[in-house]
Formats: sequence, structure tokens, C-alpha cells
Amino acid sequence: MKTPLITLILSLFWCLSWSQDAEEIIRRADEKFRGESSRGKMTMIINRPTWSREISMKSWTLGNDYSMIYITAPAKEKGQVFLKRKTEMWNWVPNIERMIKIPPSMMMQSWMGSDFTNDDLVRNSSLVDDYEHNLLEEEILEGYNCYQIELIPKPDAPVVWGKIIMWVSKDEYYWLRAEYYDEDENLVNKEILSDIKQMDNRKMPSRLEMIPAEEEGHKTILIFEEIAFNVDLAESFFSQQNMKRIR
Amino acid sequence: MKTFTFFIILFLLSHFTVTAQLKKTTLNGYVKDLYMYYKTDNSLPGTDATHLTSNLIHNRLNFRWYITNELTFAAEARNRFFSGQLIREFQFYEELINTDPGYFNLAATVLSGEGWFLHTMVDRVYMDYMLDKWQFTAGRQRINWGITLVWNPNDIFNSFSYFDFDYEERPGSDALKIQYYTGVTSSAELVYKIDRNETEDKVESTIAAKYRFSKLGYDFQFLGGIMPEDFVLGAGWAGDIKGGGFRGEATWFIPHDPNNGSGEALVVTVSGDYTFKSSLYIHAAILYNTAGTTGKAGTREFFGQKITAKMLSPARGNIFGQLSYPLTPLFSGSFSGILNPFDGSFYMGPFFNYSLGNNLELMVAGQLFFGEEATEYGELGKAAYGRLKWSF
Repeated sequence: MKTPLITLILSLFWCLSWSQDAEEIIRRADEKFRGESSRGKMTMIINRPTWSREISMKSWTLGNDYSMIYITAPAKEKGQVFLKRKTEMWNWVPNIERMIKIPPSMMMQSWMGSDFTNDDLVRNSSLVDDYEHNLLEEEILEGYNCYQIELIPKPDAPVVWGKIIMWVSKDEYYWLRAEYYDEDENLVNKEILSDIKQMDNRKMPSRLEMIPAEEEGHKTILIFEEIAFNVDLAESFFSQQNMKRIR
Repeated sequence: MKTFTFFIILFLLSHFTVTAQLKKTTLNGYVKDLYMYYKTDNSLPGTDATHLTSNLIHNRLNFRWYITNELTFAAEARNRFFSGQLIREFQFYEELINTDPGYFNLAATVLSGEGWFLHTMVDRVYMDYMLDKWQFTAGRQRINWGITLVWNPNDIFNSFSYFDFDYEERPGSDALKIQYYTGVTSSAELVYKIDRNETEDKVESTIAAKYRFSKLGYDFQFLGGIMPEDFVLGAGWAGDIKGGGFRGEATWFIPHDPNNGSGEALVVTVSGDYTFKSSLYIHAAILYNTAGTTGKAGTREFFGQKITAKMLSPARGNIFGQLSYPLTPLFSGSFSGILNPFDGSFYMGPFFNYSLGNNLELMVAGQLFFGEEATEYGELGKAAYGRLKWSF
């Protein structure tokens, strides 16, 4: 009677340690894209079979609560600034000299039908805290030995996905690929990360492609041109005064 | 504590200097070509034509010179080339266009000929100085105190006309503006503006102050001031109810002299909007003006709409509704309507926008007015527009 119990406990430990590892891998892969604060320049490209559109911006972030975005292109939108403080958001439109408070329902809109949801960009949910992690197998991807990890949302987690499969390199913990499934286990989006570059104090993928599974020829690309982490930004930086000042 | 704040600011400033690829000067703007077809309801003075067409090539230039981190010089101008049968047949049109609402006259018809003219107007030219929590802006500038998106009784320095869709920048005010940022989302503002009263040939001034702040997820503002004919007191808010935008503005105009013919007025607007997951956007607003008429309100003119914050509509009230929907990511459609419930006249505005490229868009719109004789919208006719816009 004793032996099975010990086996059970041992196997539980084994499972736990594996899932701990899986969680740690996701934490380290996710942390590459994070710092307590950041300052960056990026471009988003929406690709469709017959057209493509680009938007470029500069961004400043502090934790999950504070962010500011300055649009640098297209020309029509240039100079617009978005400020997010906790759950509130404002838009400064310089050509009409107006500070517009953005109601939450408007934040749901995606720009030009981008394949990134706002949650992907703002990341209100946490890949580490809102999911259970299971190590599935190991696989070679783009020449990197990778862990394949399954993420299942915890009950009541504020998450839109039913499941995520992520590929993370064993060396350096580069997040290289992800597959997003809905609650019925249908593949919704495939994410490919590439162009590993030295950005600030770390090497990380600088190009993210989000490819919807159901739509041929559709793709949204996010390119980090510059990014610096753990920069000195105070909470007071994220002010309406600075919205009028940054450029 | 003060020194600490000072150091943080110094530190931030040095950060701005480090990112020194920032350009010292910038120039951007757009070129638009607007074609209009107008079917009159009442013929215009000096012509009996009932179908009029015009073409407008419109260039806007926005120039900035970032002299230091604190000091900026701005100048913006619009150059417009008008041509077509409307200009040929409606002789007063050039006069209507060639006005400058400010103290300085920075508008001029540069060139003109048979059925065309070129008009230039400088609608922004100011210096801006920002230091610590202070900001000083002197010169011709846009001062926008409006919050809602259709009618703005709080916007006492400009009057946004919903029908003037081709000039969202609006004319500037010749003014001195002092702002003090009392917090990250709050500020106090004092404005002194001068302008010329053309009809009475005298200089007039407006002095007003505003305080805005955020509380409980809402933005609030309170304002008070002295306008040429009235004392004004106003308030406005922007927030949300269950995710939908909920905004409003109210301004009370009290004449300096009860006998100056200006009349007391309380102008109120309230609006709600909601964006669905499908990106369908719905928007409704009402306007109420105690000084407006409950009878037939037919004093509007299609060209040269003279509205003020006090008289956004000559009627006691107006109701607005709008539906917008991106039919494709590049092609969006919008349909809006305004009703005067007292005289039954109304406006309908279909609007389509197509993105042709990163910086090129095509717009097709209509302005259709309906109603009986002498009503607010009854005799304004019907207009159709096509516009190509290239931004740079």
C-alpha cells in the first residue's frame, strides 16, 4: 500500500517540477519582451492579398498600467498621442487641439483590421499567471532546439484563448512560435517570431508575424526597430502635459 | 521634494536631448481636391442657376520649428484654388471666402480670374513655451474647449460646424493662453483673445478660464469668462456608461446689458456613443438652447454658416444620430442625420471613405436637407461631394 502512495507523491512531484520548469521557460521567454519600463519604436504592417497598410509609432511604457504611444506614420495620423493610465485612455489630436477621452468600447476596435487584438498589444492578461503550463515535447525549429509548451487558461482568467502552444528555444529562451486555439480547440492564429537581434541589453526576436489560420494571404507584422528596457520613466511622465510635448 | 521633482524633469529633458535624431523643423500637411455639386432650393443672390458645381484644390502646410526643448514656433496655412461654374455665377462667393475672423487679417485672395481665384490664409502662427508645469502660447492658435463631437457650447473661442467637414482644423484665435498643469490629468487655463467686430468696426475681447480634471473615471471641466456681449459659465464632462461614451456640455450666456439685444441663453448638449465588437459605431446627441425658437427656424445659409457657441442652431433643440461601419478594413461608411423636432426639418448625411494607400484616401459624401419653407433645414438644398486627399 505504501509503495503506490510514494509513487503517486513522487510522480506528483515530478509533474510539478516539470510544470514549474514549463512555467519558468514561459516566464523567461515572455520576460525578453518586457522590462519594468520601456521606450521603443515599432512598425505594424497589415498584409492582405490585394493591399497592405503600415502604421509606425514610438512607445513608452511603465509596468502594465502606464503607456504612451506617439504615431509617426501614416502622415494623416502623425502626431496623435494615446495615453493609457490604468483603465483610462486619452487621445490627443493636435490638428484640432483636442484631448479626447476614449470610452472602453472604442478600445476594442482594431486598427485597419489588424490580426493582433488589443489584448495582444496591451497584454492585459499574463502568459505566466493566467495559464497552466505543460511541457509537451522537444522539437527543432529554425535550427533551434525548442521546448513545445501547452498553455491552458486557469478558470476565470481574463483570456480569450482556449489553448496556446508555444515553442521556446532551449538556449536563450527565444520565443519562436505560438499557436492560438479557441475554446473548441480550433487553430485561430499562428505567430512566428524571427530576426533575433541585440536590442538594448538582450538578444530577442524583433519581428512578430500573426497569421490567421482561416484566411489565405492575411498577415500582420510587428517590427521592433528600437527598444530599450528598464529606462527611467516616472509615473508622472504619463501625463496629459507630456502628450502635448513628446514627439 | 521640489528639488527631487526638478531632477526628474532635468532627467527627462536630458532623455529628450539624447534621442537627438529628432528633427529641429518639420513640415507636413495635405493636398485635397474637393468637387461639389449643389442643387439649390432657393436661388443664390445674383444668379438664377439651380445646379451649381465647383472644384477646390486645397493645400495645407503645417510648419514647426523646435527652437529649444521648451520653445516652439508654429505656422500653418491653407491655400485654396477655387474654380468652376459656382465661382463664375455666384459673384459674392469670393467675398464669403475672403474673410479673416481674427484681429489680424492674414487672409488674402492672391490671384483671381474669370471663374477662379486663389486664396491664402494663415490660420496658425504662434510661439509656445513650456517650462515645468507651465505652458504659454501666444499668437494665432486654435483653442478648443469642446468635448462632445457634434455641438460644442463650451467651445467659446471657435464654433465647430458639423456641416463644415472640409475644415476640421477650424480658424485660429488671436490670443494669449496660459496653462498650468495641476496634475497628470488636470490643468488650469487662462485665455485672452482679441478680434475685430466687422459690422460695428470695433475691437472686441474675450477673457476666460477653464479648469479640467479627472475623477471617478470621468473628465470634468468648468469654465467662466467674459465674452464681448455675455458673461459665460460652463461645464462639461466625458466618461462612460457600460463601456459606451457619455459626454456633455452646458454653457450659460448672460448678457452684460439686459437690453443689448443679446438675450440670455442656456445651451446644453448630451451625447452617447458605443462601439460594438463588430466595429459598428452608434452615436446619438441632443442639443437644447433656451434662446432657440420653437417655431420655424429658417435662418441658416448654405454658404457662410455663421454659428456661435451661443447659437449652434437657431432652434430650441436638435437631435442627432449616426451609424458608422467599416464595410471592409479600407472602406468605411457612415450615415448621420439631424432633426429639428419643432419645425420637422431635417438633414441626412451619407459619408463613405476609401483608403487608397498609406497616405491617399477617397471620400464621397452627401449633404441632403429636407423640410418646408422657412424651416431650419428646409431651404438649404442638396449637395454631393467627392474628395481625394493626399497627406504628407
